[in-house]
Amino acid sequence: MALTSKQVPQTLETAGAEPDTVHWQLQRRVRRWRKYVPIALGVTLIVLMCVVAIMAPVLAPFNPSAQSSEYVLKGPGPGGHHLLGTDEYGRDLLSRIIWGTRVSLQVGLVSVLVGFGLGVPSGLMAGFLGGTTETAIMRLTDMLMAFPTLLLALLIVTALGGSLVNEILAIGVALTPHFVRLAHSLALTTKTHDYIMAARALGGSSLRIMLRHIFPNTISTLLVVATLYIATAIRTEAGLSFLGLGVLPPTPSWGNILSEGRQYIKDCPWLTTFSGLAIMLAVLAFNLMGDALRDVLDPRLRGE
Amino acid sequence: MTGTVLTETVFTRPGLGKMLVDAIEARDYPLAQGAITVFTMIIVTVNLIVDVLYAAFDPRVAYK
Repeated sequence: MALTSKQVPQTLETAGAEPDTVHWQLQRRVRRWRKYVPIALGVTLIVLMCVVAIMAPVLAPFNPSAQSSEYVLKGPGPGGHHLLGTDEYGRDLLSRIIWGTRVSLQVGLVSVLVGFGLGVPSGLMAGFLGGTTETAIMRLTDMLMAFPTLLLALLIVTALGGSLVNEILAIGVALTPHFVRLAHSLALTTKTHDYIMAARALGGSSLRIMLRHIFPNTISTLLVVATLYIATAIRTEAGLSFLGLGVLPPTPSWGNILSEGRQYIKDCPWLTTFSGLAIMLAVLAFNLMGDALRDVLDPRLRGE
Repeated sequence: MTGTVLTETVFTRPGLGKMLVDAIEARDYPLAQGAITVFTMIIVTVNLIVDVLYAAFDPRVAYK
């Protein structure tokens, strides 16, 4: 649609300028704040989950293992004050989900810590030292990477038995090769910088260079990836509990609740719905947080 | 491939994933080992094929 002579801006100053009315000012403000919505949402959800997990004994209206024969399989609502309903043993669903937050957050955070602690030093050593060390570590990592994460965790939990600590170990070991590969590639790129050569010339030992020069430069990327892997860890924990290999009943975990509710999904959909919703919100929160951290710490990674 | 383990359990489709889960629940370790080995072999083979196809389709990525 061609502009008529009336629509063409007459002067350079008015060309492209917006009228400074209240309406446009509001629009500009909304546009500026809109880009912070995902960050705010992610951080809010995570803080909320942490508070719920820490205050679980105080917050939960009922004991999560307290069975009751009166309120079996009741729907959400004021019937007996069960806000989200009950399961087939009469246990309150809201309390079970609140206590399940504890398990999921513990497993998510600690397993990523384990993977980070095991994987990053190995990867940095492999990348920086090179030679036989690099070949050995990377071949081992390639072997472990051949297994999908859930399968590797499954394998380890089968060998050790299902419990909270075994789950943490299993998922931590399953995440280690990812951290090793990432730290290795980061160390390779950081090694070529000139200040490493300068540190060597000043007499810095390999350990000192790795600790004081390479690691601080790689930590921002590693932190972003670690946050995203917390989401993966929570999802894997839910998967393991769903298959019955996570925390043993009666300890509630979102995957456990999901799996138990599967039998009654036609008549009592609230069991699977709310636990599934909890898993979804947790993974969403950490994904948003990871994206926000990436945008803040390393704008070059944006759009990957 | 990981998703098939969960999907087959949910929809009770007889497949490799459900076999794996049943083997683990029944503590049938040799069967579980075998299932995981087959899973891994499939994944590694597919990754190999994909890498070779990558080199075949994209002339910039060539094997030296």
